[in-house]
Amino acid sequence: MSSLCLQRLQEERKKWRKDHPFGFFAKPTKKADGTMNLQKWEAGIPGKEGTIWHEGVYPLTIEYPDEYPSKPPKVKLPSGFYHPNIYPSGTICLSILNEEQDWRPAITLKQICLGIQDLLDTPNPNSPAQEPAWRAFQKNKAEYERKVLLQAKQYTK
Amino acid sequence: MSSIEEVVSLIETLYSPNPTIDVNQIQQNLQAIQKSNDGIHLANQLLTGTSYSSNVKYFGALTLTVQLNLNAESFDTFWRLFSSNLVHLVRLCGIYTSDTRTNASLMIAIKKLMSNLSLIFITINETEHITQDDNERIIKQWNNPINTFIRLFSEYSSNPALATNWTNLEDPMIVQLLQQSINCDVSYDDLLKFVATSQTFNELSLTFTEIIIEDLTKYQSKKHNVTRIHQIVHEHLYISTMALLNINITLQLNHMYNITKLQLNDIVFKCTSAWINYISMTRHMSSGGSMNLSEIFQNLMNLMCQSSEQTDNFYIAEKILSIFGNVFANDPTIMGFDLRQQIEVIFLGISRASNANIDTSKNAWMLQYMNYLVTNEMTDELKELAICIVDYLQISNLDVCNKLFTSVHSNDTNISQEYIKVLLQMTNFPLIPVQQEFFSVRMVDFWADLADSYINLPNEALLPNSTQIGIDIFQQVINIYLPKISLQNKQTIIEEDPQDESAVHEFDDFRSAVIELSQNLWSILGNEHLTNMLVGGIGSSDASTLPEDGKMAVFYQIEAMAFIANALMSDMNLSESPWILNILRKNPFFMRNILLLFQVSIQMSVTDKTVGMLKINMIRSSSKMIGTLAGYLTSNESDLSQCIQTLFQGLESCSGDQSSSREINDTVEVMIIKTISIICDICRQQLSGQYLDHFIGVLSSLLQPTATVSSFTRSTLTKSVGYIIECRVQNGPEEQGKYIVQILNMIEDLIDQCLDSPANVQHERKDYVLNLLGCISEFGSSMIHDEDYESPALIQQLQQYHEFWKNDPFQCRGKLLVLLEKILSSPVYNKDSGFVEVCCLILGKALTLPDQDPHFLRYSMSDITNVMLKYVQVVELSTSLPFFIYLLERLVIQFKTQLSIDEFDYLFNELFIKYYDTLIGRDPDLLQMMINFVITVLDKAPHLVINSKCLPVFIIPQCLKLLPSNEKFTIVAVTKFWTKFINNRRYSQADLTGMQALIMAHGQELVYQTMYGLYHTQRSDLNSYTDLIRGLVAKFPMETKGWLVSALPQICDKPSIHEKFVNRLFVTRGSRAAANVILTWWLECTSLPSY
Repeated sequence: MSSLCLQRLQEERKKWRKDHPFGFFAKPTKKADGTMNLQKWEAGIPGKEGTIWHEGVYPLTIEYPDEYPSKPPKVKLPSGFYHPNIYPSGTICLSILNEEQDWRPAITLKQICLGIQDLLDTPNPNSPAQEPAWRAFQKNKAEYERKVLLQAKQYTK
Repeated sequence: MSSIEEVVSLIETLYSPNPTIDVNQIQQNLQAIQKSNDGIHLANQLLTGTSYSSNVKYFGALTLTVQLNLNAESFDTFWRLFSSNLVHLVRLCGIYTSDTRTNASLMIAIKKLMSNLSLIFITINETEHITQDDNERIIKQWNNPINTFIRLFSEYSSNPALATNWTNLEDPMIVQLLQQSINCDVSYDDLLKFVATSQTFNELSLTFTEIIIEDLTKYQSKKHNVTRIHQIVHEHLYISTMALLNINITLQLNHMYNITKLQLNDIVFKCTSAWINYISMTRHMSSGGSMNLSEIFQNLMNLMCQSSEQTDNFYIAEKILSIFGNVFANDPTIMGFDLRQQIEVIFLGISRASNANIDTSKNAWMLQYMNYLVTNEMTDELKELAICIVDYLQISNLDVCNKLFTSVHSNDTNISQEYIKVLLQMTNFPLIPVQQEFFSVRMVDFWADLADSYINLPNEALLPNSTQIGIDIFQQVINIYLPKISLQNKQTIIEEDPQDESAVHEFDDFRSAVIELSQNLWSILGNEHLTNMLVGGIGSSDASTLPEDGKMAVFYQIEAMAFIANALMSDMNLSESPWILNILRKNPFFMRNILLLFQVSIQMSVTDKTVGMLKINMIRSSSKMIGTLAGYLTSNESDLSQCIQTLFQGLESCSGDQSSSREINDTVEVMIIKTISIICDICRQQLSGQYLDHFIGVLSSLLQPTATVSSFTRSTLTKSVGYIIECRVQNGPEEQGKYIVQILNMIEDLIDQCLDSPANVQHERKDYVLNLLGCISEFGSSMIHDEDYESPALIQQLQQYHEFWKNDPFQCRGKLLVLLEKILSSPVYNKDSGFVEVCCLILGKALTLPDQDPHFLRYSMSDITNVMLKYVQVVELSTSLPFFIYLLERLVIQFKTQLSIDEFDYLFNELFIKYYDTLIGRDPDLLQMMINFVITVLDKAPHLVINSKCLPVFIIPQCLKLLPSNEKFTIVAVTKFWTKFINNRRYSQADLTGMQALIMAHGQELVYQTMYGLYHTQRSDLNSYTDLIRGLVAKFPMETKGWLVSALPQICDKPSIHEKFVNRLFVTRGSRAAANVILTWWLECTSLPSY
């Protein structure tokens, strides 16, 4: 890991611990020897209150490449996650996480987490990443909502 | 041009609270005048008019800003603007000073003029062309606006008789004075004399330097190549400002120079903060060294310690601590080591370096301040103080760690131990966290970082007794936090203000942070010193014998320990952790107390919001702990029995609890059923004996339409029972089969009862049927093993099981199929895609399993195809076709070797071609699904597509037509199809020959449609075509060249661009390079600009 990457991740951790939105969590994982792996984090995104997502806290893994912050982290939900903009592998299709789109080195973990929380309830129909959720979201809202509610129970707070 | 009076009237209307005319229109009109060549003249008139209001004068200053930004290219204009700003500033300051109360509203215009001058200051000192210009009149550098201001304002004030001259910008005396003042020197004595004249002179000077430095900070953050001006600031403005600030800060300390007219004002602190921010930002980029703040910091520190309840109610202390807090949070090393040491003594009454010569009176001051805050319940201020102190402590976290645990420093270990003692005391502030104190909350980060630093220390550097030191310290930390995170505190917080959710959220966050800290500390304390302590704490005595009075306090303690213990133990595989198993066995009341906690919380009657929140917390902690203990329960049958019984009782009371809101009951129900599911999954072996019938009994009652449980609970419990039945293999397939039939019959009977009821079913009834079908699907899923699952009993009898389910003697599949057909043939259900989906899920449940795995839902190919073909005609296809496609896809993959070409063609015709014109072709989603299905078959069983009769007569013609589609998703799918069709590693030799023949026949059309589609598509969709074109060039190079040469002139008449494109395309390697060639062709053909 480059010193820039390390420095920035330490800064991100400090910032997050001091100021993060309520109900979210994010922390670096541990290596086998008990030391901290700053390049791989686990996090939880609560669904927004008043939406069909609100019952759940959705687990994320965040992997920072060596080139971070020049390159964005790879952020994944569990594989098979039901959402129009989440690939079957769990990879999130969000412009701020795409190096060729809106990623900027100044984007913080807090912004990423809030961006994903926002994406949960406001999918982008122009950027489908999986067929079932995308189709249901477009064509069959009742089916879409039923499945989202069920999924929320699986990831209940 | 409008008359000045008209303009003034418009300005007054614009700024009036309820403008009578359209504001946008006024703004447009005024902006036009501001930007015009008459702007400066207008500004001067507005600023000099004695009768004009402050709003009009502000607008005049704003007009100068507009002119500065638009019309300041020539030096003459620039100088006009510069001198106008200076003259108006001095004159307006003069008017303001004459009677600050009456003229208070003038400050807005004065500040705008100061801001204009700061822009001029930056422009002069940063603009390169000015410095290179030979014109001697040009001002190449403006050293110090404060000196200029002092000089001009002193001149103005000393000659009141000449005040009228300051309205005439052409006055030679004024012009000369301005020119002389630009880079004049003002000695320290003159500066002191000036500010000592009056508090207003002082404040105006402070305001001016604050505005300049704030503007410069903003400017620097936008432009990164600013450098020259910092040097000028360092050499001039910094010196004046530091003098100014120090005069103000030390006023009360030593009454220096007998200055009696000045008072300490908030402006001093605002100005100090602005300067610290600026110096912090620029200190790493200035070539001339950084600007020292030591004197300011020292004076602030001294002033802070003079603040008291008697003198100022610690107002000054609060202001200065806010400045220090900002420093420690953002750039702590801007304060030198010696000063930080002094701060340490003030904050903690102890120094890491030495305890000799410590002035403890300063810490006494801090204790007085804290006492004042606590006594007056000033929680916001206490929070600010805690943040400031902990930010300060974090600076030296690593140093503390090294001194405590290593031999790197030859220090006195007693000092470090004392130091830690103080920090522990501070963490253990005896008040309620979040509500009354914030030290413990903020100190979580400190202890977590200290633990991290300790873990990362190299072994060779550690002191011989470092392990013991670590254990001593971090055990104390845990012991401090356990009561802090107690729900008793949460209760007090909620009761204090039930409407204030933010405090509750903060407390919840605090609890989460303590979990993270505990996980860090586990790496140091291990099970021996942490998990054991928690398990012992929970299970050392019987909580059921507690007297009523004070019982809840103990349960809150148990909850806090369970909350942390669960986080530690959930990462362990308990059944393989003999240490933990042993500890759990040694604490006989552990399991009992956890269950008791669960029971107590279930029985809590929700009388208000507070109880509701606490109840959920307590059930969450206890139920999660029970789930985590599943690995332990595999070897403790009596505890397992107790757990199951308690959980079911909880589930039962949940549905019968009328006191709680539906929302609370739903949440509790989800937590309980998830715990039951975990136990059923992990303890399936232990439960497969005597418990199975009990489980089936519970399932039977919860499946009833009258049971008030959620669909999630029904389906999860069905799956849980499935886990147990799945494990019941030792007595052969017949016994397991009977259980499976029992469950299926139970559900099927309930569905049948619904189907037999009147046709006009209610919405709830439909949901219920859908839920029951979902239960069957979940039941089927529970019988599918993980890949690494091994059951010796099943492996021994695998053949019998295989045979058993092949023959299906109980007719499970047949009966279920009849039921599914009933659903699919009923117009009440078959128009709802949810029912079609779940039927397809059940039919396809075993399609992904390896052939040798037995499963009761292993339907034959003909069973599935018959259902599809029969009901595709009656269901609502626009929403249900995707589920048939999903099923067909799995079917083709599973039976690829048995499925004949004719059968494939028949299915393709019946499911796709028949509905193409009326439905699929008109719906981009269905179109995409159909094409994706073909792509999947091409990947898994290419011979079926290549030899299909549908390929030449339907698939190829349609996919050619769709190449120039307007729909992004269709383009993606169809280009992917052609790319796969041309380049498929799964082809046999015969497939390959077949594909080549088809391409040779349709290549010209394919290339034409591809290039036509590409030409007409949007830029964002260009990449979809790239892989296809690359595939054609790679697999059919000669032919593609010819096809391109023939096709391109038909698309657009640009022969040279086409020629260049073809030539470049055929010598290009790599996806990115090819994409660039294609992009260039597209841009040149469409005459669009490249960017």
